[in-house]
Amino acid sequence: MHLLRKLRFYLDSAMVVQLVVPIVFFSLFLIILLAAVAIFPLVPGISGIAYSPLLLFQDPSMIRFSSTRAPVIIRHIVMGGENVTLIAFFGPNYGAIINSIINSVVVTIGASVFGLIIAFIMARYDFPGKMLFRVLAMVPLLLTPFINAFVIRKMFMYDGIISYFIH
Amino acid sequence: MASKTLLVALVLVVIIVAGVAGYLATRPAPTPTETTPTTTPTTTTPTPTTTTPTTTSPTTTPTETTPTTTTPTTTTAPSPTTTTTTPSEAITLVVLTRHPGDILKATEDAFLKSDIAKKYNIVAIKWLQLPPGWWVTYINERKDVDIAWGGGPTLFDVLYNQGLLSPLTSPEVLEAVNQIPDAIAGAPMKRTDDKGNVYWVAAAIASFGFTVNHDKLVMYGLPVPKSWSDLGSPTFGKPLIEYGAPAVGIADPTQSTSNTRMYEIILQRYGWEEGWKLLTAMAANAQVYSGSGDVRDAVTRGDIAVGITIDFYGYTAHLQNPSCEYIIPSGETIVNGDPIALVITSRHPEAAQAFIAWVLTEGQKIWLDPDINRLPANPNVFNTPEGAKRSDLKEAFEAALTTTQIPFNDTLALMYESAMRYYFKAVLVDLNSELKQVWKVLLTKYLNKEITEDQFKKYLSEIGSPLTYIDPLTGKKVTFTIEDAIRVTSEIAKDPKIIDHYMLAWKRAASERYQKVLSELGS
Repeated sequence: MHLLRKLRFYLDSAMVVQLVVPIVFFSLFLIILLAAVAIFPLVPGISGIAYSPLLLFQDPSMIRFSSTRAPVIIRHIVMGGENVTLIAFFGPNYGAIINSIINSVVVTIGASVFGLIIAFIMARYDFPGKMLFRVLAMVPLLLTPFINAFVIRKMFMYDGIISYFIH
Repeated sequence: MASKTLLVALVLVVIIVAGVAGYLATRPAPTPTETTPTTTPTTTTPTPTTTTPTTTSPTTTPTETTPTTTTPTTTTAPSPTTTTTTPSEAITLVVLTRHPGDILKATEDAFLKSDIAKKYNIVAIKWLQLPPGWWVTYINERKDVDIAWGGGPTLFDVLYNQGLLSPLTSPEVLEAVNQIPDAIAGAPMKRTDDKGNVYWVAAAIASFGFTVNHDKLVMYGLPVPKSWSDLGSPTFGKPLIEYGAPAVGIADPTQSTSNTRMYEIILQRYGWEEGWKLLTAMAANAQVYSGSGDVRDAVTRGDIAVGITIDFYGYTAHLQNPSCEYIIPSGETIVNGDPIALVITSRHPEAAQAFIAWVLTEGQKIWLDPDINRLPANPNVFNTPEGAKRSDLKEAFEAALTTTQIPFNDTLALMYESAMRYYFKAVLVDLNSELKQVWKVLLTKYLNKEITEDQFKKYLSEIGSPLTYIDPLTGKKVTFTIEDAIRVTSEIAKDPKIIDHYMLAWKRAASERYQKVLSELGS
């Protein structure tokens, strides 16, 4: 009751709404999902064998220590009667998990460097069209909610988790 | 102090919600039924329904109207029906279907304007698009589904065997049914019982083959493929070596039912052992796409020279890019009739049968739409003005009539389907990069004549023949024979959670094999 009195002292109705709505939203669309993904596979099925995340380390398509291909191939060939230099980018393949880690690290470093440069320019220099440039620089921030929308759509489909509860 | 208690309160709420979610997530979910037939195999093998050999020429189909220029008609002559007058309440038909939205929209627009819809007072159609595993559950629980449409003969045979279909009885629909041939290229277009009642009828037909892009074939210097084995041949692997780009396209069977079907065709046509070797060679030569539509688009764009597709994707590709052509591998494919049927839970059987009659006659024109491009089941549609415009589809229809089919055992294919799909995904799709690693070395040595053809076949056999792996349920070493595949399919049906364990076991065994051959070849 001490707690409740303190809460009522510090919270007005607007703040309550601002607290409750995000909590409910994130619980429904983030926490429940993550809990289901984490807990459901660990429960063994009828055969009695449970899945363990450690098994991923034994999966050669998930984690491997030698790449299955060279990242870049440069070759001189004849194509359509002409001598051409063929440059093919494949990227290394160390399994899905390690590939994702490599991908994230490279993209994060690249985006940070790029962002720093833009921030430096915006802070130090004044040039015509700066306002437009500032708006354009914010556009990448708008992309991430689309992923959330995709996940929420999947949740409402006939085999989605919301339909499962409503069923 | 207060902010600390607030923080504690928030964390508590989050933990409680997560706990509730975890509890609810671990309750057993309502599982969709597998599409395996529940009756013994003897009653489900498709048998030809007529004893007279069906003629394959379209102008001599058994109809009662004039033989030369017949247009698809529905009888409007008064006939003794079980209903007396036009129903006064407006009817909404509930249709369970696997057809995509463009077909459903075109059908709805055309049908609701038609005289038949007005006669039976059908004002709306409610479409339920569901994957096949959910159909039996939905029919039993909704209790108001009128019609089932599209989804392949296997699914409809499951419904028939579970007693969920009603025989077609109204004179209108029976007259329409008589316009459809009993069989095309040996494949049944109708399901009848031994008393002669018709339960489902094919509304469209489809075959399986590949779509080629002639410009790309010329650019790569490849011949036009005529059979599935061409796609796995070293000739079609040359672009992979020379340009680093695969010439073939296939799709992941766990994401595509048409590709699942094609792999089953290959396994039954070439036999289990040789079939898996061919599938391995094809997957090694190919770019694996995540859907059959992506394969078609890749051929249209010219990313690849040949992609395995169902026939109507090939016709669509041809319309979008005239250098694309659909090729039926003669003697190596099957023709499927895509059925329509009356469901036993229908609340408006007369109206539903009127819709079925319309789909089999006037509605056949929907297939001729240039965005839809399917082969009709009723040959009379080519005598209409719309039919006359689609001479390409008419030629394809006549080619399908004369194609020789392989003897295809649907029941057997269903018995190992699950295991086959996950095995394919584990060994050939997820490990495709490793497979290409060893395939490139093997092909290069073969094309440079460093190894003989016999040696090449021996290595292909080593990487392609069915795996020997450690079964996760028993811990023993087993080989993936047909019997083992059937056993694994039934295990998966009992406990779907075991799928990941089997795929892991297959991946480890396959990876070992690829690496072993790679070191034998000595890169």
